[in-house]
Amino acid sequence: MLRVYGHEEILKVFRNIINQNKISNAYLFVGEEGLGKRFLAEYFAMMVNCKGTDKPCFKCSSCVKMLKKSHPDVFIIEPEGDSIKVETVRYINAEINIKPYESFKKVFIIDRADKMTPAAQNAFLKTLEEPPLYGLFILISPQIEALLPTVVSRCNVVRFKRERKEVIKEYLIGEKGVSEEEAEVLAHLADGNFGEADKLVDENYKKLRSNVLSEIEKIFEKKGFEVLNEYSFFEENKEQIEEVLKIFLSYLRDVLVFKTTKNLKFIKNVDYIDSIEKLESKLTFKRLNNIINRIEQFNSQLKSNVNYQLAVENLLLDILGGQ
Amino acid sequence: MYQSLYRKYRPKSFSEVVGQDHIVRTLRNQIKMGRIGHAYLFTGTRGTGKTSVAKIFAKAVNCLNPKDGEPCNSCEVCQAINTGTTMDVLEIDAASNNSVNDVRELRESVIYSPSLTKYKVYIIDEVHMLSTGAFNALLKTLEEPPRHVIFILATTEPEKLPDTILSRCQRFDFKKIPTKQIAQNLERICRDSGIQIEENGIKAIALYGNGSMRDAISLLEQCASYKEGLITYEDVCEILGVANEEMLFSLLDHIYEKDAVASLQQLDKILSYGIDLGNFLRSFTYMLRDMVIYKTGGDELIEILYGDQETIKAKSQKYSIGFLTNALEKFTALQREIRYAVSPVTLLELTILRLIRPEISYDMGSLIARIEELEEKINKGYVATKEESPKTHEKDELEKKVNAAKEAKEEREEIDLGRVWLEVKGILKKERMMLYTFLEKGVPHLKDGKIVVEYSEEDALLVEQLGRPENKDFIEAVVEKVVKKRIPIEFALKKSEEDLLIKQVKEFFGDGIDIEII
Repeated sequence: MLRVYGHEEILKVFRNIINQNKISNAYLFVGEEGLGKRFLAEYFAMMVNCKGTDKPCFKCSSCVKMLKKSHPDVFIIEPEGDSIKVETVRYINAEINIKPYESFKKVFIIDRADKMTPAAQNAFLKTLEEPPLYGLFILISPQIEALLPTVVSRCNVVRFKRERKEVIKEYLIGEKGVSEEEAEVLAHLADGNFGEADKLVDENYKKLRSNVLSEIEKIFEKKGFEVLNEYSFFEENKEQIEEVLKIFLSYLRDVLVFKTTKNLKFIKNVDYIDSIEKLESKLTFKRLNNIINRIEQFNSQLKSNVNYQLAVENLLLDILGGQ
Repeated sequence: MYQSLYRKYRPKSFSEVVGQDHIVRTLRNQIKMGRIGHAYLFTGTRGTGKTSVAKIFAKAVNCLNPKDGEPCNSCEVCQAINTGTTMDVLEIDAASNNSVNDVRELRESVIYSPSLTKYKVYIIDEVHMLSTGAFNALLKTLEEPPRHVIFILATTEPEKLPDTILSRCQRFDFKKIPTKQIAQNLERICRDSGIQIEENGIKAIALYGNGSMRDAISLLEQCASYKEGLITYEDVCEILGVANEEMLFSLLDHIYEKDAVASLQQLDKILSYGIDLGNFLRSFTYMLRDMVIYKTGGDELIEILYGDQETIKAKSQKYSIGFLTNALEKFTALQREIRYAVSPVTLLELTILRLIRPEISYDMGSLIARIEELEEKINKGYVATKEESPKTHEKDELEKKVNAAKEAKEEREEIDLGRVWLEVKGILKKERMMLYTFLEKGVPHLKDGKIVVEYSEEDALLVEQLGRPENKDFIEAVVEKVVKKRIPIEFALKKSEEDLLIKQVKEFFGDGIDIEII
């Protein structure tokens, strides 16, 4: 937890806030997953309570406790099961009234605040707006819309962006021990997202990605009802179907964009340029458009609990039929 | 210790409340005349001042030397309430104390008279979260509380309250605060706390507050912590995660010019600034909406635009209304779709490409797909193999079909009839209302380089009227103005099914026979 890659703007804001002693009562960290929100939330908590001059100093008692994750005044709230319930919020409401043991601020980091039930969010409102002056809340959510507007309106929003490729490359080399050349390619694929970069280093994901991409090529070679045999692939990867769809879509997006612009610059899956070019000549705009829409539709079908096999087969037929 | 700006600048007297004059006046008059009710309900969206007004009201009714219905903020009672040290003004969070038992406790405490003040005031915030049992347990007390008690219920969602509660309260609806007043208040706060910010920036913040003062002040605080010294409009855009206007307009330009490469580059640039997709779509649809409104209503509607009036005026000259409405529809639909999408950015890119190349869009549907199929067949020489077929008649027909398809394709590329028709009707609506209503009923087609407008049989009268030379000429002139090319127009009756059937039979058997329908 010693080095922050990128996020200079956010760190600058943190330093400003702390130097001017203008720490507000509630912050909301927003940004897609894998950008380091949780990491920076803990980092911010460490900065706030650090007793040294150059914050965070990593040396004072407070920082050391943070690094050991045993700080008595920093609470981390995470979903239990799939949600954060009213009981948890009530516990926070009671706990915030007890003064901090030793630090300047009593910090509550609420990871996946979007998982708070509506009742929990409502119960949180009063505390969030006017906690005791030593109280500090850091809410983390991938989407701002997932929270009640009444909650958002009580927080200072900090937005997380995708990082530059160089930063990701540095991160891969420094933290993951990846070679320089590989890091270059992976940084391109990760598209500025640390979480994606982590995944790309992971052997299992690498395998999944190459499987999915060769599966796509296979599907488009099939004729008629043969395509139904490909269901077995989807059956095997049922657990990670969302990842599969993401890979699928990013590939088709490349095909579509390449077809419109004839420009290699926009392609994300740089290691598959050949097959993208090949597929591009095979598909019409209309068909690509339909397929992409169809995949999004399939995704929403899965969320409403349809029969998995039926939905997949329907999807496959539609992809080939193109109607 | 430092307090959030929205806490620090919470209004402390009625005169500081912004944008709720109708409520403030009523409440002050009630206090002046001594006609204070025992149960109030304050409703309205977040950040409009419900809780603040409730707190001020609690002070005003109890103040020892009120002036003109205002609390003095200096007497013993006012100060006790301001610091929250009195037991007589109770702020209850209904969301975390929502059970019947909580209400029972409240009922028991209600009977004790206040220790310091004249009235005991219960402010029940977020009251919509009470359980049904709790609401019902509250009814009797709410209707006839002891003399020294005032209830103020506050909520953002009044539709969740049972009617029996609503009917027992004086209800005050807090309106969204107008952008202008938010901006004025922000300026005051900036002056007071030494924040330097450009005027444009304040405007942008006020607009993004969307009628909520707390949102706006939170945003201002974010900007203030972003950097020291002067905060510029660009800074504000970056902090809000919104694209500034220039970037949006240049994206729209590229789309309008059908330049896919430049559009995607511009989008990439916008997204690389870390702009939130939802925010981006919101600003984009606001902008399109403004231009559509200005194009339809002109200067009369200029008051209801969100954006800067001069920019909208200047920019909207460039685009046709058909393009704008089409884009607006597509992006509004997208706003709904992206919430649960696997890859929202892909959908956004797709939407932009659809606008650039209308032939991939869904709505034109299968027809185009079929034409494309035909084209493909032609390209692959599918026609040539058929040539050997012995029946020359069939061959001719095939060729005719192919030619027709080609022509249709060409025409479609030349003019987009749907859009043209919309524009033509738009112009007619302003200049000749009668013709517009007539045209509304017809269905336009392109046929042999002419526009044929078909009407069902009961509209025969319209066809006759429209067919008159003066009307026809006028419409043709309008069409010419829109497409920059003279296209003849015909008005025809749609053939009924019987006629079509007869025609088909005749085609099959040749013209030489008489057909009678029995």
